[in-house]
Amino acid sequence: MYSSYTDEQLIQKIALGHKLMFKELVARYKNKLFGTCYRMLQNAEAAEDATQEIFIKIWQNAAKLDFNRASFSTWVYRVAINAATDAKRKIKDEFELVTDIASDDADQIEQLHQQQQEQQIKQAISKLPANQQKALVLCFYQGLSNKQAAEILKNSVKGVESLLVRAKLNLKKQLGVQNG
Amino acid sequence: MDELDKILNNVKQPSISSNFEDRLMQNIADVPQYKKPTNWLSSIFNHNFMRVSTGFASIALIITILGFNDNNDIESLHEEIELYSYAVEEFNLSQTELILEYQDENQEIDEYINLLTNS
Repeated sequence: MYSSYTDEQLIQKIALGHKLMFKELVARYKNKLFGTCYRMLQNAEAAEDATQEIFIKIWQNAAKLDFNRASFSTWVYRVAINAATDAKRKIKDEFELVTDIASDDADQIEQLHQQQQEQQIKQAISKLPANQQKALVLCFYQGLSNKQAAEILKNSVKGVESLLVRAKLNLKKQLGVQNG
Repeated sequence: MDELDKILNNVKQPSISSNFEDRLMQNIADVPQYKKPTNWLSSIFNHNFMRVSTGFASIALIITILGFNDNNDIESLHEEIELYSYAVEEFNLSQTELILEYQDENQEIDEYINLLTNS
């Protein structure tokens, strides 16, 4: 219905209390922001809470937002990264490797193996230094360009490239993947 | 895509809850929005009090420039009263507004207002 509006135009209307415009913005960004928070937090419930918080802040402060320096997209990803970083500090590392295999059913064993591998990867990602993790989430999982990620992280493009290389080297080391 | 990319892609992202939007709309229902203050200058001058004050200040300035006259100089006084009436009309002020606003402010002006209302 409001798909022709730019993000910035929607924000202007949201500042005046237009809830339908707010819904349009939510539809555009909820999966992107949830995905970003989830990859940072590795916890769906916490990621949803963080995403709710981000949208509430947008609703509350739409009139204060000024996009002369950066686009809404850049700004909102930056907010998501910061919100997830804050939430992460509050959450204890809840990952536990699945070690008990209660059944010898082949499908279940395969499923458990898959779960175990996923948890190992999540753990490896969560152990990355914060900036490497942010760069990985934005560029690899969210598919943003290095330039966009650099704007969001207030870093240079070269800096982001370096973070990505180091993140991948760290992950390979942790997961026992051969370089190649 | 190298082996690491394949491994990283194996970690699926769960879907966001289907009631996410409903919860959000409920959550914002009671959240007040920040409202930008309107331009203070224009808001002050749009106010009736300031409109009256500005009008009055202009009238006072005209009278000051012309100088107060001796009460005996009736002709000159009439001219000032005419000028004063013109100013009142120009600034769209009612005499009541002026009287209410300024009757305690300045005795000399009060005398003018009295003269005006009695004329």
